[in-house]
Amino acid sequence: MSVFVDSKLALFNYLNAANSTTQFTAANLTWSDPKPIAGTWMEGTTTKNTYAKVTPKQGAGFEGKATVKYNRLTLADFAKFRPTRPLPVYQPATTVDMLSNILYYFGLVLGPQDILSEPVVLDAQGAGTVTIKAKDTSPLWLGQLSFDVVQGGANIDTLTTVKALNGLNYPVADPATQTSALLYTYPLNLTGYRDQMLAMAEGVLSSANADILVTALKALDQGPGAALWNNSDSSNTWSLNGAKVIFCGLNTMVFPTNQSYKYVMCLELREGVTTPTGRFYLHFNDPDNPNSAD
Amino acid sequence: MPILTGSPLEEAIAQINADNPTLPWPINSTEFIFGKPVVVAADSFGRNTKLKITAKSSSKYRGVLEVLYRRRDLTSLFRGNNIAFTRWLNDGATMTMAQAIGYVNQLYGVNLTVSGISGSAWSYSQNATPRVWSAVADNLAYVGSFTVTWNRGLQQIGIDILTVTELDGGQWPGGNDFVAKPDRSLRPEFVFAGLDFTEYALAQGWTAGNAVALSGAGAVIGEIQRLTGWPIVIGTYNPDTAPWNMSNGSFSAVSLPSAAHPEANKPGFAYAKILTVSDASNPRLAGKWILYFNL
Repeated sequence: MSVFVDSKLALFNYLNAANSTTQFTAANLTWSDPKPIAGTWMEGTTTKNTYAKVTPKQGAGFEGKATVKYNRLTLADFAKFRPTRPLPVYQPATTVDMLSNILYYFGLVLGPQDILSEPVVLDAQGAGTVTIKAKDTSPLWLGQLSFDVVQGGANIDTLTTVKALNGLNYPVADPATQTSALLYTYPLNLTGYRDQMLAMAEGVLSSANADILVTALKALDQGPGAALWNNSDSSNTWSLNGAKVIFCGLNTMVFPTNQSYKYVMCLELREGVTTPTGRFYLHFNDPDNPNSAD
Repeated sequence: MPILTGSPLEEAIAQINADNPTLPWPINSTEFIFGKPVVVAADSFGRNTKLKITAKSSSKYRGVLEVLYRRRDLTSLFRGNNIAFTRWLNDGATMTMAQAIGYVNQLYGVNLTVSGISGSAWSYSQNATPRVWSAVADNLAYVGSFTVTWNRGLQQIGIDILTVTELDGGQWPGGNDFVAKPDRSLRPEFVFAGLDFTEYALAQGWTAGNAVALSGAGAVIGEIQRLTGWPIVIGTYNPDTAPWNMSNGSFSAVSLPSAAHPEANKPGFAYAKILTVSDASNPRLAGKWILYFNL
């Protein structure tokens, strides 16, 4: 199991298992940096390739020290398990930045204590060949491993910075209380009032023009506002008094309007009028002449 | 464009991408698995939904993203509106949800989808019956429900009756393709137009109703040759060696004006004998031969 857990933890697991105990942990034992056995006097006494010293920590209830011998693994051997598939990585600056992708795609637990942090240089497509090298002090690893990398493997969770989204939007700012004038008036066909509406100038509606629109809306509206539209300066609901014509003319794609109408008038109700809410569009066409093919 | 556009999935994806412009590759509908939306208690903004998005291995991402967002409540969206539409429906017919949702979208500029809404539509006799339509549980853009009413309107000729508006229009004898058939100088409809067979008919004792064979007694071929100048012969047509040969045929007798042969109706004539010559008989002379006469 050693390649699937953190290398430091792996060593304590070995130590405990070999001695039929569970009591040794990083909390009570100091594990020295490992050293190669080759070239030492121990070379002839063991087949292991590494030794280290373990010393009890202050207050652990032990004293003395011990030298343990074990095998470190050669990184290059991993290539025998997984010969060709490239590792997806997303803009790693150093080899250490790739460790989470190595765990995700290779299934190999390597930590910063195991691998030298070296700059990664990739081509414009984010691909290339990378070599990771074991630190001399890695508890479990020796040597180096080269493999190809391709662009990918970006962590969707960390790259998505706004997770509490600002939508979806309603046509009004406060959907809990407001009636959208935009949606409310969308179905109305004011073709019968084409000439009068086209004659209305942009800006605040004259009282006479407001009367015309009140008459039109009362005639066409099928909703709860049908009887309520008014031209009263004291009414804060359904009042066209003081409403402003923002635009009146040919329909375009940029407006939230019904494209089956030729003309639209964009209106904004007087400040303080709360129902309905928001800018809205009144749609109209040229009146139909049954004797004309147009 | 309408007030709201895009399918629920498209809207959810667009919102994630709009809020995260720094993503190296925008999220799309094909390289991710979109989980079922989970209802959560709404926060102050109204975010009422948790959604898990898992990167497929075909994408350039790995891992799982969980976002919190607001699905629109249909009740709030249609607040204050009386959602109704008017359409003709034939007796015995049933409106499908797909049709009805299409009409509501068109009328109110919204983006409801057939798969995202549960509810029932109407049969022809259910005029003005309100229906409650609800967002299905896994609709990524909507929750809640609203009431919609169908009113049976008048038949609209442009939609409900005249389903074929591409008419044949004017037709020249022999068709309107003058490239395929450039020479129409012998079209019998026009060659026979100026000819009067009355004198011959009286001489032959033609009556109003009798049919006459082209090769029959009375040498009608000779009279046609005399009046048209066509040296026609009964025989097998050959464009090089026998251009005036044609098959035998039989004239039908017609009283004018005729409903069956409106093209034969012409002021000043009470009768006609009509022979339809086919391309197989003689393509140069093909068409309706109309011999006009009075008695």
